Amino acid sequence: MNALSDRYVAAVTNQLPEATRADVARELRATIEDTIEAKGPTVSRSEAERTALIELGDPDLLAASYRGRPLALIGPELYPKWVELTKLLLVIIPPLAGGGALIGQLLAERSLGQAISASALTIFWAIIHVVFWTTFGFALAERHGARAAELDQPWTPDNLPSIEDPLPSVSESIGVLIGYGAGIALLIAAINPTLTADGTSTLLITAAAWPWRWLLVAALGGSILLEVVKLARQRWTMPLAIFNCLLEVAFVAPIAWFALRNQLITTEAQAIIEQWIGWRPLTNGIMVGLVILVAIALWSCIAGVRKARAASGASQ
Amino acid sequence: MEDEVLLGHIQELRRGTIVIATLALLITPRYGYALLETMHAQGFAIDGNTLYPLLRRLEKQGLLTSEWNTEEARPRKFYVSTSTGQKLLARLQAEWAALNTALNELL
Repeated sequence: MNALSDRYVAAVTNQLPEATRADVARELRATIEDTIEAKGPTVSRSEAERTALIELGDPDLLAASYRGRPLALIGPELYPKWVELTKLLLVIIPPLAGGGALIGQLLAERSLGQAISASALTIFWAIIHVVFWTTFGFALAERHGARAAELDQPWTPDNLPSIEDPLPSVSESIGVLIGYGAGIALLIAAINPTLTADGTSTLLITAAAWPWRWLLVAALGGSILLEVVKLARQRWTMPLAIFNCLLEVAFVAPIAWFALRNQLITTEAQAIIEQWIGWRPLTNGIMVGLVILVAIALWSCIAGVRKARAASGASQ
Repeated sequence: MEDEVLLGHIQELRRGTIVIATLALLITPRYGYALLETMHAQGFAIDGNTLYPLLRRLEKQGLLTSEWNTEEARPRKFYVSTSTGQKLLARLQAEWAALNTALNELL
């Protein structure tokens, strides 16, 4: 066996699961040899080998055919939904993020030129994020969607969800996605606000806590992914509900950590705010805010689990 | 352009017949390349890169079984249809006949 056929067989079987690799390789080798032999003695061996491999075609395609995997990132079943959602989000989120960035920059007293260029950059990244996360979410749903289970039982009208439905509603998800998008845009674009009183200025968020906003950005990104997968699958599932709880923890934990140590807002800024609103000590206010935040997170986590239970109950 | 459309439709029409032909021919055990040659000789235009993975899929579905024959100079994997495969073939054959009758009445 000559190097070209060996390389071809390796190129195909490297992409196959371990269990079938050796057997497919052995059969493919025999098949290539058979094909070469059938070209007859009039053709040189190297010429015959080339023709045989050309007939078998692109090894990537052959491997895909052996694996039986779809040769598409998003298949025809999910494609229309993907187009619809991507278009909708592109109309909504980039302008909103751009507007948010513009306002944030102007509030931070940047020049108009700086504000506009920052806003344009935010819009650019918002477009990239929208397309990436929707595509990623749908590709995940395509590969690990609930469809395999659904194909076992044909659809009947009984499968229709009840009105007080465990199905995620599109409008609700869109609203949530807009919120997340705006949140990410603000966290990325905004500068740590500076408060000024009596001629002294101070940063609002402590230097220790400020870098942790990237964890919030990550948690919001995860939440966007969650919403998209939920939309693509049209239902809550238990893994999604657990992912949702983890995201809530990722979002609340850093805020709680710094708030409980009173290291979230600088003492100088606290003094200024206390002066402004005449409410002291401000730490009480921070605690109230924290309690509300934890309550919302808990509610979201429990609601997700409940909806996932209801959805799995409905499909049984 | 028109030829492309025609070719596409012809391919679509032929696609379903490949499984019938495969199950029918594999009543006699054959290895991949021999089966391909037989099908070509019988007028079935199919490529190896379609047929060889199809054989594995049919085997996975329990319609074929395979065995390595190492007696000859070159070891070859022989496929033969199972009784499940034969039953499925009979069903497909009936389906094909029904389609044929229905179309003939229509044309």
